Amino acid sequence: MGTSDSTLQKKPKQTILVVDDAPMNRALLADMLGDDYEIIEAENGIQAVTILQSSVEKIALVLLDIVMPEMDGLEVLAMMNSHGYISTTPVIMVSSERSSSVIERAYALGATDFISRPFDTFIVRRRVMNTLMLYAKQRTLTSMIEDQIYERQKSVSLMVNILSQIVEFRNGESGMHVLHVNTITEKLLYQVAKKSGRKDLDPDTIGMISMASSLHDIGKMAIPEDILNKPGRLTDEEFELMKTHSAVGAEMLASLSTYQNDPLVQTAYEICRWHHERYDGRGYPDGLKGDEIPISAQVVSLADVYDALTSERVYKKAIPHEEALRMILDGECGAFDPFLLECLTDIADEIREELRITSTSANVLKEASHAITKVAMMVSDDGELPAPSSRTLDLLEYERMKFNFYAMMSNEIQFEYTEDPPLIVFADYGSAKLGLPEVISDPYCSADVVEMFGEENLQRLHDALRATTKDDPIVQLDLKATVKGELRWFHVAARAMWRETKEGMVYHGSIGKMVDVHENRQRMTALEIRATHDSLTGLMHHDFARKLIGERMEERPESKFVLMIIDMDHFKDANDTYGHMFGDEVLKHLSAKLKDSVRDSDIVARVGGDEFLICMECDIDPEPLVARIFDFITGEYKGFPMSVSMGVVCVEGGDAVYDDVFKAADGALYEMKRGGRGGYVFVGADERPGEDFESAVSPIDR
Amino acid sequence: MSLEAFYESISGDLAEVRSHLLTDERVTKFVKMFFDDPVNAQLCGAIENDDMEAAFRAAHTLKGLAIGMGFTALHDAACALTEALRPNDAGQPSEPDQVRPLFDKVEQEYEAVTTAYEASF
Repeated sequence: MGTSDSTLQKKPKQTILVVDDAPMNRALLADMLGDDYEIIEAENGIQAVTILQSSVEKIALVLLDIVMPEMDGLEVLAMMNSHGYISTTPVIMVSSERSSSVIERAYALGATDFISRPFDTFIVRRRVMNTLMLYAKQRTLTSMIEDQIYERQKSVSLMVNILSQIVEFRNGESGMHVLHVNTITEKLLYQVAKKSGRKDLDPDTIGMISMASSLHDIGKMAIPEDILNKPGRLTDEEFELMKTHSAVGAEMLASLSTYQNDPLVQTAYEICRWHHERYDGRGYPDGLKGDEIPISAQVVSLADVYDALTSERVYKKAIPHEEALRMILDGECGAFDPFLLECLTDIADEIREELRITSTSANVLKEASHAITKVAMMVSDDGELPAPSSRTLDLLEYERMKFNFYAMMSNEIQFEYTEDPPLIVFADYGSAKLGLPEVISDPYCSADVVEMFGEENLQRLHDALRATTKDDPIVQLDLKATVKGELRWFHVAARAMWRETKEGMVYHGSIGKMVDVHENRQRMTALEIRATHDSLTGLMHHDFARKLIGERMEERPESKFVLMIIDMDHFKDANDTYGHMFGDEVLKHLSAKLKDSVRDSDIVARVGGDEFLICMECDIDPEPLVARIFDFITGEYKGFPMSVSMGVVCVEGGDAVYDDVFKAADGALYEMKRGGRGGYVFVGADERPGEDFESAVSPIDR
Repeated sequence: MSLEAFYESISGDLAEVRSHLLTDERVTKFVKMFFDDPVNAQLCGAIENDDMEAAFRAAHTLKGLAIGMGFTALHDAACALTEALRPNDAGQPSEPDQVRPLFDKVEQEYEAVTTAYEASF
């Protein structure tokens, strides 16, 4: 029942990154810091940057030399700046540089301190410890403040939500109405602020109005339930009673002791009292007109109507969003400021999407986040984007772990590229597969990279990524790369990273992956070939040939084409006398000869059991050509006489209709067969076979 | 075989080094490491190949190591060489004519401490 030492909680050691090109300097520093810290070493700027990029959240402090090969200390500082690491991670320069301009530059780039040589154990330990404590305090402070704000916001929201749920419960509504109105109000207000550029609608005010909107129907508590939940139409009397809810609710709020001093309650009053006023002055209770109605009430009024239309109620079914929008724009549901209606139209899709996914807790977080960001900015030194708290850093580490795991499992070559400094980092698997180092500085100018991908591909990728936008950042393309001596196809998918700066959107870098698709591509082509060609002879099928011929003729309508149908004479004898295997051999032999007798670009197809087709472009007199082919294929094969009959047609590409041409050739062939075989017959394209025509090509193959 | 003797023979500053490194054990360890460090070879190589940038870095590093170990004379020589090699705006050594003689001086001092080291340890 005793506890052993191993169960005692030990504070984990902080990690320090030591960057210096001389091993002795690194050893000195590591030695001086002793066992209290975990030490990671880097021998130049590039290594340091790589380590930072992969695990900045683990590094509590950096000891950084200036003069180093590959990338010097100032460049490392610059990189830490551009990635925002400098505000989380303190850097102490450990250089023997005395030049004041260099020292100034280091401080300007965010270095926290300088330790000069020779290194003194006490001084090194003290400085490191002090710096770490300072940063830790800052992080804790930020965390504490975030927590406080979050908690407070949660309580306030909770109260408001409880109250409005009670109200809604009595109405027989779902509980989502208040939330929806809240969301729509906020979005509308942001759009109004953006579109009109008015200064009075800052995020704080918008947040307040949205929260106050939760109380808009509080007056309904005073309305009898049987009127509230009546499924049919209200009588005029009942309707008048119903209308009092705005004034009554406002009175409730005005009678609160905090009313005089609290802008939230005052805003709630406005909204409550005037959310049924109309822009044309015909609303209630006060008949306010146009901009006499406070913007808060106008917006909530619109949000209220929109949600009422699109939700199910006791007295009506839900109306689809497009229809609801139309009704509102047509003035069927009250009168609104046209500018407001424009804003609603602008964000209609966004609203529809948001209402689908709204939930209570998300709302709280959203409200808290504005305030949190503001205070965090105040706490950070330069009022710039705040240093992330330890909670954020924990999240970052968790995300990174997930990413690395998936990267390991996927067998893809994953990379990360930054523009400034220009650097590409490959994940372990990727670097091994490509045979490239894990980190390459200035990759577009690296000889290895250029040799592997080729200038053209690099340019394609470069341009495609920079042509993307923040909203559409993904690029996908295929390219051939020479990896380990072999030319292979890869599919590249990459996402451009755009950063918003004061100067506008800046291209920051990209992340992506390359997948080896070489086998797939080859398999595809092989399959395509199998599907369109005869497996025995390797010639095209008739369908494919027909398609190709059609295309060719369309492309070159002025050219003359010759179409020949060739039929083997007495083929049945080959099979009967010598067996089917011999028959197959004969067919293969003939096919080979046919291919040899024409150019590679000419079309040769097998259109029947022993029937073949040749189609070629021929602008001169075709007769000698046909004669040559005929002579070439006539002969004998292993004792079997090779004799063919041919029907030939000549047409102009533009005049041709394939089926007619084929029929004509077919007819000619038939003539030949009938006339004794072993020869060829020419016909004109417009000749049609006679009545006793039987196609020489067997029915299946026609 | 003593630190005192070694530092005496090269007019080095043992007291200073002791105050920085705290234990004689450490001092001995790092003195040994100093002579295993490739920086001087790198310097010589760079000078031979006329790579002034690499030479600058090597001289700069050597100067830092020397002062860390209290090798005063070597440090001073390395300092002078570093400044002569420091790249000006055009990326060239600031005092190219001084480079050779200063480099020779550095090598002389390095020889001296190496000899003393080998004698004492």
